[in-house]
Amino acid sequence: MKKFMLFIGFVLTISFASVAQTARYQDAMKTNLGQLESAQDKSAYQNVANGFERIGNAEKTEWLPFYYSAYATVMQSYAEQDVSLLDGILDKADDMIGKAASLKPNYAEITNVQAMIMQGRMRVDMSRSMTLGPKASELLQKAMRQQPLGSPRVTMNMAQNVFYTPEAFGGSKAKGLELMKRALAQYDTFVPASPLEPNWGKEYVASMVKTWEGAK
Amino acid sequence: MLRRTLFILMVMLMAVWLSAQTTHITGKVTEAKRKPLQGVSIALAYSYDGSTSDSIGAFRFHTTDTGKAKLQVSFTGYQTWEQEIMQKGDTLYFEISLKEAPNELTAVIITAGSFEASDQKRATVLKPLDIVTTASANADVAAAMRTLPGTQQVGESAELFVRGGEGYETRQFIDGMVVANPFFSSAPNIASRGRFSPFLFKGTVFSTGGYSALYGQALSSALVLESIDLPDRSEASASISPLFIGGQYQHLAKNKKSSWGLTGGYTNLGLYFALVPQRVDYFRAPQVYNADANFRIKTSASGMLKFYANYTLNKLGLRNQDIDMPSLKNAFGLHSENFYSNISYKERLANRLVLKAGVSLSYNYDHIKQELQDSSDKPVTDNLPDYMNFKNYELHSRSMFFQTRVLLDYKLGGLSGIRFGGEYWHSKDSSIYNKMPASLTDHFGAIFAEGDIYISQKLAFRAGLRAEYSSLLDKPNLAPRTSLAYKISKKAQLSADYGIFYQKPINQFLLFNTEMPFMRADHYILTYQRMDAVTTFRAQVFHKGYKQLPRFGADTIGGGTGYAQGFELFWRDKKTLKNFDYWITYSWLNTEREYLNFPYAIQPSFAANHTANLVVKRFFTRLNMQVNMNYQFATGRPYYNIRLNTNSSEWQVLDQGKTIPFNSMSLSFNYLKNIGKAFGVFVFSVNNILNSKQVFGYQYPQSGGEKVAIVPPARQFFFAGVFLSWGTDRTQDAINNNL
Repeated sequence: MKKFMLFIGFVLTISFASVAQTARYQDAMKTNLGQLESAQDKSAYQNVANGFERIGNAEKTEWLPFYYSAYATVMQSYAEQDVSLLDGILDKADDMIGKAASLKPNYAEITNVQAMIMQGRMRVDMSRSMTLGPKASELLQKAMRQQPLGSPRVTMNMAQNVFYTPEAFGGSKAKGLELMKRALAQYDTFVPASPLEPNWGKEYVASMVKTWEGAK
Repeated sequence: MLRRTLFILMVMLMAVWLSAQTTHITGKVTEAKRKPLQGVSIALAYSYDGSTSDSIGAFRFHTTDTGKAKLQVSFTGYQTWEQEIMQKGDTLYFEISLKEAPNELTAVIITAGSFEASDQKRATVLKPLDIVTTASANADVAAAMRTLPGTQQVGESAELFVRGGEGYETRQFIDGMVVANPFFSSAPNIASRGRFSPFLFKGTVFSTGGYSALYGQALSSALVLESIDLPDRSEASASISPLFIGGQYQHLAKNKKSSWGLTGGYTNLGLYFALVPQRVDYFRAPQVYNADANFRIKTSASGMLKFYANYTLNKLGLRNQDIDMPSLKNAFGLHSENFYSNISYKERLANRLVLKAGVSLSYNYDHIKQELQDSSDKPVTDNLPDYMNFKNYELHSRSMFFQTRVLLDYKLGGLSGIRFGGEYWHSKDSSIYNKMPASLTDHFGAIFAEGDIYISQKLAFRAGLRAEYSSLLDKPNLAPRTSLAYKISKKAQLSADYGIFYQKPINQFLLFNTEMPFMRADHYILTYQRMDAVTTFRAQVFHKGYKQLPRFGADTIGGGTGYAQGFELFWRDKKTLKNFDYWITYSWLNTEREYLNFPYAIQPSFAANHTANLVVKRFFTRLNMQVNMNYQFATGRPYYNIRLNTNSSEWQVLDQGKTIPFNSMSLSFNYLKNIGKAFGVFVFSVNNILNSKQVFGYQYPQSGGEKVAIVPPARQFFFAGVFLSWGTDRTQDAINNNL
């Protein structure tokens, strides 16, 4: 009996600790996601990327902190004007998304960020688009296969890829816009696997649809 | 009992109190020179707690954890700083100076003196695409290199004449192995092209001096080409032009672990010559049949096996008026066959050790028939003066070249590393000149070792040694090479190179005398380079001393000396003029040598004192068109009439002068358009669009008459063609499926 009580006590303690731990993780993630959403400049993105990295390193088995760290770092690179710094920043993003991918293989949202890193690297030198463009496109196709129901973020990236690729290389403004509208529609049906999973981008997509339609 | 309960309560309270303690961690992060670093991640290991440094490098955060912990400070490009700390509720302050991590991007570059074109490495002066979009080059690797400093505009040859060196002093290497016949065989004083398409290579390094001990048998310059690995996708392509037709298929296996490819092509300049008149009378327009095959296998995560083989057959025949007897014509006929093959293997043997091995076999056969003809194109052999008799000849020349090479590359940590290996070449050259046979066989071996040592991110040196032996010359040589590089600021660096370079005299000389030493050149080079993402400036000063050059005396001997010195400037800018990418080069060369039949040291006829290039490229996005322009300029080259005085049996300069300056402006347009399912590139180019007169030198009649200018067969060259490719690219399907 005594032993049994002790066991119960032990189990309770452990599960209490793990519940506390889970709650702590959820809280920390939510706090950081809030910061990510409100981030405007490169240092804010860098701060939140570091925050997610700390959570990832402490948890070790969660892919989401590394995913968001990579995504925030990509956003940091988009905000960076000095192109000579981009490769260094995107190396960090690559490192983070690599860790996420090893914990969660073959996942469309992760593959999508890998494509975003590739697109970011093209900004350094336009001549890279000859080699990196097709590679980014291949990654997006892979992401589409990994999520047959369609992720609005993957569709959005594909839309940008198609829109900004010169027509001679298979790009199309009209098809790009169509895809962007499709991405917007996907947000209505897309349900993230858990509340912490990627669900960003709707406002951006809506604004892009407006801008591109206006440019027609 | 009560005491016991009290004690437990106390302990519990202690624990609560301890856990309520907050430790404040503050500090400042700088780099080695005390400049603040922003964006550095400060973290406690296994904890969420941490911060990011602000614009003055400061950070501040707190943790409620207690006890021992590890503070980790990390930033891209820097070594991570770690320290054990004790969290006990007080405020801790840290001044942290981060050391730069060994990083190829920011470290000093040992090989700053060479020109590299690569997509793989980030900081390169050129990109592979630059080679095919250089207007004057018409997708010829060597011709594209001719827009870089240190090279000469020697229009009568396809070879690269570098820093006062002969064309043969530049050697080409594919995957580490020397190429015996990199250019198509051609007629005298008519430039041909390189055999290898620039699309075969992912990386090109052009060194105009002071290069690594890994490469030998090149006195002046090395053009190092690295073949591509697996293609990105399966693709069929076709090229169509009034000059040639060709087709290619490249297949990538489904698992993306192997690929194979085949190419076939036929070139015939007959139609072109009918449209664009040539100064010489081609009785057989140049024709080339070519075929190549390749396979590439990814043998493991880090292993790659590549095979490439190429066969070409080319023929041409042309007539020129004879310079000695204007009533006669010189008819030159060439039939040439060439086979080239190369197998290379690369594998990581251990964590830090990489093996690179290769075997290459090539064969070349040239059949040249040269005869004097009368006005009705009938051979003339009788009643000729002695000096005319050598103009009737027939030559069969066969050469076989085999080589094998092994290289081990060991990383020492950081960016430092050592490389060592060896190679063996076997060559057999036989010729039959007017039924007189001659042959040369050589067993040549070399061992080499080289170390790159980074003392810091800013200071590095390379020391290398190469030892060679040739059985034909029956002589060894020992060639030390060394480089020192120092980074003076974030973007600028200085480097110095020194090396001894040896090369066997070419067969033409060895056939007369094999008792010759290796030719020798000593290079001294100083380089300043300033480079950022969009601009590159480079200035180089060099001195090159020549020894043991072949001389024609009573016998062909090797006692010639010489020197070449000068300075060179290179400026490339992709930013200042919006959408324009351009580079400008200037080379000043001062050179003289005692060489061949020169009676004393003179400036050779392949060297001009001043050479300049302007290369401009622009892509018009709306038009889908890339427009490329370049202007090449060189001051006149010297020419001489050197004759043997039969009384004193000494060589004499009877006449000399300098040619008119060389000017050539070239323009090319690449228009991109999809045709059905094919991706098409339409190319149109003109060399020497201003129709500038070009004189490459003069020939003197034996009989003492007026000198005759060496000029190109046509002043201008026009090219039009379309290149189509059909890739199994699923992008469009993917797009359409999502619409």
